[in-house]
This record gives sequence, C-alpha cells and structure tokens, in this order.
Amino acid sequence: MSLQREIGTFVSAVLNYFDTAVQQAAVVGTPYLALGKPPDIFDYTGMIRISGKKKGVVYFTAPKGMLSVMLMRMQETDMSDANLRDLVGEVANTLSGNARKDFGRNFIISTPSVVTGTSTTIGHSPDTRPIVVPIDWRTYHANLVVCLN
Amino acid sequence: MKRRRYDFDLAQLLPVAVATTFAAVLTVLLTLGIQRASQLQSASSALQLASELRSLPQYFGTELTLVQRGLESRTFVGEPLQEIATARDGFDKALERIDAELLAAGLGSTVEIQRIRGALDAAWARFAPLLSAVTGHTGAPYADTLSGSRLNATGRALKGDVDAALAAQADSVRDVGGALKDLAAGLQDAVGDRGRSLRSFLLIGAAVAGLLLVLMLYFSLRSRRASADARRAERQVADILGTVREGLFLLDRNLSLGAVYSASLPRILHTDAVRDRAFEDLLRPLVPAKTLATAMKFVNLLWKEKVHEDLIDTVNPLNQIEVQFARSGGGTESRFLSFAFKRVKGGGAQGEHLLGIVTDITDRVQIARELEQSKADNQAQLDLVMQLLRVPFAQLQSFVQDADMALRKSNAILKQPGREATELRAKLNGVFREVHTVKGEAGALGLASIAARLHQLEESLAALREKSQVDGNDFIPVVVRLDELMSHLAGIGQFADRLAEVQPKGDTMRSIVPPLLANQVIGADAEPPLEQLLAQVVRDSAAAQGKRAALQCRGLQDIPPAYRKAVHDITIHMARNAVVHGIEAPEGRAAASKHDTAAVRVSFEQSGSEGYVLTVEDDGQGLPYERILDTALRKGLVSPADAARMERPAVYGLIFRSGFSTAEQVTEHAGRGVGLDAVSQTVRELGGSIGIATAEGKFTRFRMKLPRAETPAATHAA
Repeated sequence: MSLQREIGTFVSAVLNYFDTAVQQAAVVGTPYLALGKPPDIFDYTGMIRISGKKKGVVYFTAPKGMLSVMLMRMQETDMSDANLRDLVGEVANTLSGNARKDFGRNFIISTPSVVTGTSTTIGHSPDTRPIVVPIDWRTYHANLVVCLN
Repeated sequence: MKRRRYDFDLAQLLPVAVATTFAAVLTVLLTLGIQRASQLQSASSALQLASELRSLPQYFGTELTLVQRGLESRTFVGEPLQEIATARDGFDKALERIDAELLAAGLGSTVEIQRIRGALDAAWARFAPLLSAVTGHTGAPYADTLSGSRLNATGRALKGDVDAALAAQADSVRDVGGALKDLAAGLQDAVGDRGRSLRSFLLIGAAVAGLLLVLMLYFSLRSRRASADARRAERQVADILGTVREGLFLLDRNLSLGAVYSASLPRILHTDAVRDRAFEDLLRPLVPAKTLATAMKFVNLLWKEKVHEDLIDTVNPLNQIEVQFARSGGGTESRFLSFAFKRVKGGGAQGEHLLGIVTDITDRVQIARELEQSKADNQAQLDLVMQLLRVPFAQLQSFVQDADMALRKSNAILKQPGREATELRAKLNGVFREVHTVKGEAGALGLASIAARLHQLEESLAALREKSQVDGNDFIPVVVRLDELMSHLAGIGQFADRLAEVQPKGDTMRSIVPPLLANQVIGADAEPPLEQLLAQVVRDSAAAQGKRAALQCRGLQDIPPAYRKAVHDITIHMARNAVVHGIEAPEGRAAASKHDTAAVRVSFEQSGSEGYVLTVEDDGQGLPYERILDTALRKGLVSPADAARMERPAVYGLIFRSGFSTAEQVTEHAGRGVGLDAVSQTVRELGGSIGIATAEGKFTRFRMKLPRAETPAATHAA
C-alpha cells in the first residue's frame, strides 16, 4: 500500500521535526478523510506540490499561537510574521526532504511555499479525498494534509 | 583469438630478442677484438725482441774481438767476458720471452714461425756453446814472468775458445741473424694480420652497434606508437566502462572480482568496496543464505567446459532477485537486480574469466507488475460489472447509499477528537461495527469485490485490536483502506447511476442479468427482497462452510417501514451466524441423528400492542457454554473470579460483547466477533431487548423484542 507508506513518511517528518527542532514531542490523532468540504486551514500553511508518478499536494497547517510557542521553544524572540512563515516553511522543507529521501525519482517535488490566512484555498485534485492527520502539540492543534492520487 | 595472442607476444618479445642477439654478437666481437688486440700486442713484443736480438751476433763478435786483442796485449779481459756472458744469458731469456709472446699471439703453432723458430734455435745452439766455452774459463789468463806477462794455460785455452768463437761468429751472424730476420719478417706479417683482423672486428662491431641503435630506435618508435594505441584503447575501454548502464565485471577462478569493472557496478550494488572482492562476499548481504549457496554452485558450474552455459542460464538463481539496500538517511530501498554470466575464452581450452553482467531491472519489474495489476484490475472490473448486473437495481442503489453512509459514519468516528487509549479503542470498535454491517450486506448481494475490500479493512482493524497500545499513527492503514473503499464504492455508484438510465421504469426489482440460480429469479410476484437476501446469505455461508442449510421465513413482508433497515441488517448477521456457529456439518448432524440439511428460521410478528418480536433460530448444536466461557476468559472479557460466579444466561450474554467470537479462524463469513455486537447495539438503539434460548445439541433461538414502530427510537436505522 504505497499511499500508506507515503503518509507514514510525511507524518514521521513532522514528528521528527517536533522531536529535534522543537524538542518536545507531538502526538498524532486519528487520521480521517476530508469529505464534503476542504480540510481546515489555520493561520500559516507550508506546502509542497508533487508531480511525477504521484500528483498532489502535502501541507502542514498550524495556528499562529502554536507556531509562536514553537519559536519560543527554539529560543527565538522574533515572533514576526516573516519568522512564523519561515518556521512553517521549514516544516514544509522537512516534508520535502523526507519525500526526496524515501521516494527518490518517483516524486518530483516543488520548492516549498508558504501561504497565510485561514480563508486560503488550497487546490486539491477534485477526484482525490484529502487525508487529514491531526497533529496535537501541547494544547494546540495542527493538521498535516496529504492529498495524492 | 589464438593468432592475435601469438602476435601480441611476438611483438612484445621481438625487441628483446633482437637486443639480446645483437648484444651477444657485440660481446663475441669485442671478445675477439680484445683477443686480437692482445695477440697483436704479443706479436709486437716478439717482433721488438727479435729486432733487438738481430744486433747481438755482431755484438758478440765485437766483444770476442776485444777479448782476443786483450789477450794479445795482455790486458784485462774480464769486462768483455762479462759482457758476453750477460748478452748470452740475455739472448736465452729473450728467446724464452719470444716463445711466450708467440704463444700468446697465437703463433706458437704456426708452421712457418715454428720452422723459423727451429732454425733460430739450431743456429743459436751452434753458437751459444762456443760463447759458453769462452765465458766458462775461470782464473787469470796470464802468468807473470821476468820477461813480462805471458798467457798461461787458462789464457791459452781461453784464446783458443775465443778464436774458435770468432771463427764461427761469421756463420753465427749469418745463421742467427738470418733466422731472426726471418722471424721478424714473419712476426711483421703476423702483426699486420692481427691488426687487420682487429680492425675488421672493430668495424663489424661498430656496424653491429650502429644497427642495434637503429633497431632500438625503430622499436622505441614502434613501442611509443603501440603505447599510444594502448592508451587510446584503454581510454576507449574506460569510456565504455564509464558509460554503460550495466555493471560489468570479471570473475577469476577463485570467483574474485578483478580490478576492472564498469562505473555502474558500485552504484548498482550500493557499495564502493568492489575491487578484488570475493563474489560471494559481495552477494552475501544481498540474498538469503540459501540463494547464495545455490548461486555459488551455479557460478562454479560455468567453469566446467562440458556445461552448456546457455542451457544452464535458465536455472540461474540470480536471474531476478529482490534486494534491500540501506538508504543513506535511514530505512531501506527495495530494488530488483539481474545477474548474467558468460565465459570469456582465453588462450587455454577453458575460459580464463567469467564476465558478470548485473542490471538493475527495478523499472522493468515494476512495469511488468503494473501490467499484471492492470490486467487483474481489468478482470476485476469485468467481474465487478457482472456482479453488479446480477443485483436487482433497487437493491444496488440501496446498498450504495447504505454503504456510503456507513463509511461516512466510520470516517466521522475517526474524525472525532480523542486520543486516549479508551477513546481510540472505542473508535476502533465503532468503525468495526459499521464496516462489518456493510460487509454482511455486500456478501449477501454477491458483491465479492467490495466484500473483499471490507474484509481487508477489517483485517487492519483486527490487527489494531490485537495491539496492546494503539496511537493515531496506527490508524493510517485504516484511513487509506477507507479511502480506497470509498473510491470503489463511488465507482459502483456511478455504475448504478448509468444503470438507472437503461433500467425499465418501474422494474427496479429485476436484475439486468439473471442471478446464478434459476429459482432466484425475481419477478413481479417474487419473494420479498429480504427473504431473497437471507436465502443467498444462508446458501453462500453454508457452501463456504461445507454445510447444508435451508431457510424458512415468516412474516418478513409485515415489517414496518421504520424497521426494515434494522431488521435487514440484524437478520443478515444472525442468519450467517446461525450457519457458521449454530448448525453442524453433515457428518455431525448424522451422528446426532438429525436431518443432514439444517433448518434456519427467521420470523417477524406483532406481539400484542407492545411491539414486535423478531426471531432467528436454528436446529444446530446450541450455544457451547464451556467454549464461550473459555473464550471470554482467554480474551480477558471476564475475570476468573467473575466467571466462577456467572449464571448461564450471563455467560450466553457474553457473545454480544465486542470482539467475542468462538470461531477458530477468521474468514470473510465469521470470526471477528463483531456481528452479534452490532446486532446488540442496533437492538439497544431501537429500544428493544434480546433473549436467548438454547439447548446443547438441539437448537439456539434469539428473540428480539422491538417497541412499536411509532416510537422515536425506531427511526434510528432508517
């Protein structure tokens, strides 16, 4: 089951980021399918687009509060918008790195990009159901969304 | 191949052979030259001695004359006598030296020289004794008298010998001088010969050296050209080995790799340690021990000349192997490799090397598998279409809606917050119930493809239930299978929509393709759909279990619309349970003196004004009290202390607990312990209750009391 392996890789990437960069483990909730409406988007979203054998988008979306506390944990004092964007971009970069490492040439991965705002629309393939993996950290809640066909 | 090898060797050896030959010739020439030079020197020395000796006969004459006059004048003659003695001894020694020089000059055996030398000896032999006689006198030659000195006897004898020697001196001058002249002339010729000979040797030597120099220059040029060719060829080989995608290498008789291999080899084998490695060591981390042993035997066989390499290639164990390579960043990567071997013929009768070719065939294998999968998918699609065409249209539409709802409900359960262990277990059980319900209906409708997928999802859920600790990560396989199921179901839904376009109006109870059995044809006056479904369930389950069963239904046509869905789900589960768990195999029934075809009865009836009673019973073996208790204890559903206190009804009630099943094996039909759990939950949600009556070896009866349909709870499953 290829999709299972791919999701596992992305989840590991995010959890590993919390373990190493933030130095405080995050917990994975039960994943589910986003049916009927797009997955919830939080304040900052870092994403990679994938083409090649698989096509789609993978993104990590988190609220500002969560990212700010993450920065504090990382001894950062600058909580500016740019720094929060950098942080979520760094998570996306980790997703990209792990995908390259695990899937190699089967995946063509775009440069990570960052979007802000909860009203942002992220284009999903219409014939693919996004799989939402809740990422809980402290009292905060973020989502890792994998939408690949 | 043989001819080329010979040429190669000759080309290599020719300069060495030529140089060696020329060096030998030069050595001989130089040796001869040195010899000639030495002989020339000796001949010259002999010539010089002979020339010096030619004056000696005259000298003897002079000294003898001085002695004669001295004697006549009675003066001292000791000095000339001494000179004569010294000259005579010198002449003897000179002759000895001449002989030695002649010998050294290689003239000792020359006839002419020997003859001259003989004549000289003879002449000297005649003259030398006379000189010896002259010098042999001792004592004073004079005697003093009053009249003066006069010769005494010695003097007179000396005078006589001197006279005799002087008398012979002229002959001596002629004979000895002539012999010495001849000797000198002969030696002069010999010196000339030796000189010419030496010059010839030196000329030849110089010519040979010059020729050698020319040849060396030629060979040097040729060698440089050959080296340039070799370097160009080497570059070309390096280009080929650097470009070719296959991993090429040579194996020697020790099955070790050589120093030359293609650049792709380390990349394909994921190791830089290739050079001079034993092939077995290289292969060991890639394949299981058994494959390794077989592969080494195979490679060893290739060395045997009698073995046809093309024929045994068909049994090459390395023709296609799946190997795991460690990734640099952790984890492993699966690749497919193919090894092939060819003998490389050398100069001998047998090959000197094996050429190994290793290719990464992962893409090829994956394409082949995808093709295979594509064929299987096409076949599955075809099978699915046939399955769908056999299902009455209304039932198909209803199933798609129900299944979609159940899967959405499962997804909603997953989406609920909660990550504690108990919450995750509750999610597991909730999804399990939903999936199991849909699976039962899919099986009843003969939708094997979707039933199989649901079964796989159940497998994933069952694996999680066995785990002591579960977290969100563990649900990834569940959600992926759920996604796949929804896609599959969506495809069926689309098919059902298209089917609606061709379905005759008002004939939704008939399938496009007749069901498999003639007595199952559904027409306007056919049995109600639920009875049809239950019959299918009983028939399929019994066939899968090797049992015989007949279904008897009563009152199912009177089910109020509000209960139809719930009763539908409940009876499908319970009818299947009755066949799988309740009734015996034919041999068991024969042993119990029962009819070989078991009876499964399903009835629905009104129970006064309070509600309804749904009954499902079978004439099977009854509920196995001991086995239920054992199973509950084994699965930890009850503690041993509680088990000891439990009454029979409470023990029978355990079969409604989530995860309970007495089935030995999990199959598509039973074994998860979900069916009765789901039934129990449905009945509870409807506000009803379940009663069990059973007698071991005789029957099992489930009576489900349901409230009147007008109660709000009855709308639960609608």
